[in-house]
Amino acid sequence: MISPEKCIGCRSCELICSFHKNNEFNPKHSAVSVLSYEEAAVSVPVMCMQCEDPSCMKVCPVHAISKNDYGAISIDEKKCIVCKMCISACPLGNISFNSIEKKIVKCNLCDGDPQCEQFCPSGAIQYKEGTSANLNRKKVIAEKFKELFGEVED
Amino acid sequence: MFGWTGKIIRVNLKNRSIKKEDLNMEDAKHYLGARGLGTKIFADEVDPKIDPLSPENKLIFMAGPLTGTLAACPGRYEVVAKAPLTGTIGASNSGGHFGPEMKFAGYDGIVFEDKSEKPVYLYINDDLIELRSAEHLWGKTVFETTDELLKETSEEARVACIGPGGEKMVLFATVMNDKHRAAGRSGLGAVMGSKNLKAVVVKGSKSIEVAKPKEFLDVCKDARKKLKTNPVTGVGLPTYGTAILINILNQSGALPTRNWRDGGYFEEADETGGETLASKYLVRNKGCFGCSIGCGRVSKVSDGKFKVFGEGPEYESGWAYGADCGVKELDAICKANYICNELGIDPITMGSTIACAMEMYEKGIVSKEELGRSLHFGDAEAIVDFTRMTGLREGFGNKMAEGSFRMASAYGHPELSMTVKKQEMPAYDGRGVQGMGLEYATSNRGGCHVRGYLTSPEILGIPEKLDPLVTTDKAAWLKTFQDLTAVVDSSGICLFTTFAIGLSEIAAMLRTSTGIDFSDEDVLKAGERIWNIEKLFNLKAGFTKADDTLPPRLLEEPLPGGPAKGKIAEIDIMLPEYYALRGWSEEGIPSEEKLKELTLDI
Amino acid sequence: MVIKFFAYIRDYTHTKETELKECEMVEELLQVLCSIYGEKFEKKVFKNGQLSSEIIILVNGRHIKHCNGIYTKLSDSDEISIFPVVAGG
Repeated sequence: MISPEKCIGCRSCELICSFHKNNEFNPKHSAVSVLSYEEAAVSVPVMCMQCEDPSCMKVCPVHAISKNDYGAISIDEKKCIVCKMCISACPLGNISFNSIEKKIVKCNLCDGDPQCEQFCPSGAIQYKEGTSANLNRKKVIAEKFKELFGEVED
Repeated sequence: MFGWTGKIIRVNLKNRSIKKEDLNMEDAKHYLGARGLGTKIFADEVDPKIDPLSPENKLIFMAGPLTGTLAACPGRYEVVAKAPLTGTIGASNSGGHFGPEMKFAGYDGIVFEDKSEKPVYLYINDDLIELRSAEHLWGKTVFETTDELLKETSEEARVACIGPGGEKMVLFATVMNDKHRAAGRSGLGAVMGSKNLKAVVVKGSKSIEVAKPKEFLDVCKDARKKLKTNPVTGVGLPTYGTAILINILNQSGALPTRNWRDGGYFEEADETGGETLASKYLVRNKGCFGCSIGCGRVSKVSDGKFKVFGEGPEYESGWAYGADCGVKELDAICKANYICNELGIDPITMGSTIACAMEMYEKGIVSKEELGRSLHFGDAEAIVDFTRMTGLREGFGNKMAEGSFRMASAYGHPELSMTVKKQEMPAYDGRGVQGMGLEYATSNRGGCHVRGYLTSPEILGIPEKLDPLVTTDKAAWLKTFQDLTAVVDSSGICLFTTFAIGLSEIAAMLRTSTGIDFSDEDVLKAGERIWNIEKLFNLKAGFTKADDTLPPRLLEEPLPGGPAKGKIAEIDIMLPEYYALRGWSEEGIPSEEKLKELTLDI
Repeated sequence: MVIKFFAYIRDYTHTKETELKECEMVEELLQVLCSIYGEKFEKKVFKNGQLSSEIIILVNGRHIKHCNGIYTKLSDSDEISIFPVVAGG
């Protein structure tokens, strides 16, 4: 769950992601990227959304991509032949290639404990069930109505 | 290589040679990086007596071993040169994303020598390093330059550049990176301008490694947790930014008002403070690279004649244009601050220089004809107009571009300039906060608050509360703060981390990242070594004990009201104690024993 | 006496300042303020019955630590400022 309105554009998520994967700091090898739009004053953390019907999984010729126990679409590095088909297949551009380690970079939700969420200082990245996340957004809108039309109490 | 990348770039702008050099690891161990290592390289290579705007000056960009890592607030780098405003060593620290990107490209720093015949910029993309023409960029603002360079190179690149202020060698011009972040003080942008170096553009794809990944992760997690749970770094700074300080200094009677003439209380301060900024103009918080605080303000004034969309203002610029100029209109302050970033000049010196001119005008020292208009305290339009004129050196702005000391001296009134070593003092009155007075007097780059921030214990009670009105123990506290600050600046992390973490956390981050077995004492000793090498440079440049002082107003005119009523800054009591604690002679010269202890005797 | 509130203390008081009379000491004043502004305010000011270390109280610009703490005497002409611990630079 991503809340760009909270993102301060610090890219701590990129740092911890690359470190968690490779024990080194390199935003280019991170599975999450923060894109900043200065004119709109918004920064957006972009990462794999763990599609329900993943193109990457379908295109993989060696069946190295599967849904794991944590709901993450993850790559079995033992099976992966690094053909990079999945990079082309992802409609969201959220899979990339680490040219030093010669491997595919894709978010696997850190086996149910996403490090980017832990290191995000502003709560812009949160790991939770889609439905409860939706409810929270609905609440924000509902509360605006409450403020507008509700009886004033105090 | 761990922590550091182990490589620096040396560029000779005259003969256009570019060399990659190995970092001297012995020096890296003794001076850490950024401010310390940059100063060490500079002091080894440059004669302290040179003219700062001559080709003999060098300009160094330097990151630290923690820059670009997961450490607490690791976005910092330092720009080092001899400073044109002061003639002292100049070292200015900045955040944003430029410093980390330099390390991702594989370099700890860049040394620029001599002067280019025509405007150029340096482009770095990992191993590709080239000087390119910047003739099409000359005259352009910081924002225009940055946008054009990103278009010309790569949108993933990071840009540090100068604006018209640096080109025209305004003596307090800044080096700006990522548009709104500034290596702000001492006029290092003018040095860049004097070299015809418009910008440095860097893009990197390499990795930074640390010696002990698991341990490093643990200490960084711990430090970040402390920042998150601390009321200052976890709540105060993210909610209000640095301008939250305006009210507290004002209520403490130490917010210098109307060129420090009217004491430390500005009636309209609340209008200019962080609370008002947050409620009226704040759009969003912004963090530097890897920052977990996010004190940066994206702000927007939507209508009126001061309409503007940018970043800031910070506490210092809010004060310099606000209380110091007697201006209460926060929208005008936002606008003036924006123009400083756009043209690349330092808002502390700019605001203070306008404040000085306001007093000169009200005293009849400078006329309406010369100024081209009236200039009373409280004139909101004036702060905007004169900032623009100064950045472009137009009209009376050409005189302001020399800073308040040279401007006021030209009229025979240097006493109206609120400067130490010709650099404008920031927003804490040394009469009401005694330790800050000593800090200004002894800072190696002239009037400056971020070399040993005693406001923290004296006003805010961090790490413990000291009485701001007494001189007792201030010298000892200052020495420790100065040495620790040198460590922070040289490691590549943000000074604001020290509201929540201290020497032990920083030393642990340095140990686990570099793999060098520094003890906490070794690290603090490095800070002291850095302080002393700066001092030695200044002594060789001709500075003496007589320069370690404050403007006469702080030494002779008692504060007219507030809790410090009747107080002057008691430098004469604190300075001898400070010299003694530093192991310096009565004249402020480091003793042989001290130099030996710090391995500075060779 | 005039009591001024700053930073997020204003979120609890919904006012920048107020006036009170006849509070002999800072302690009494704080108790009166707690009764006016309620639990959130009280939680910020007191921790375990002690004055919180995350609060700064000035009497006429002087930190109460350098006066007599919560036993600092007050008169009706005093100005009291209440801040959370904040910093900047």
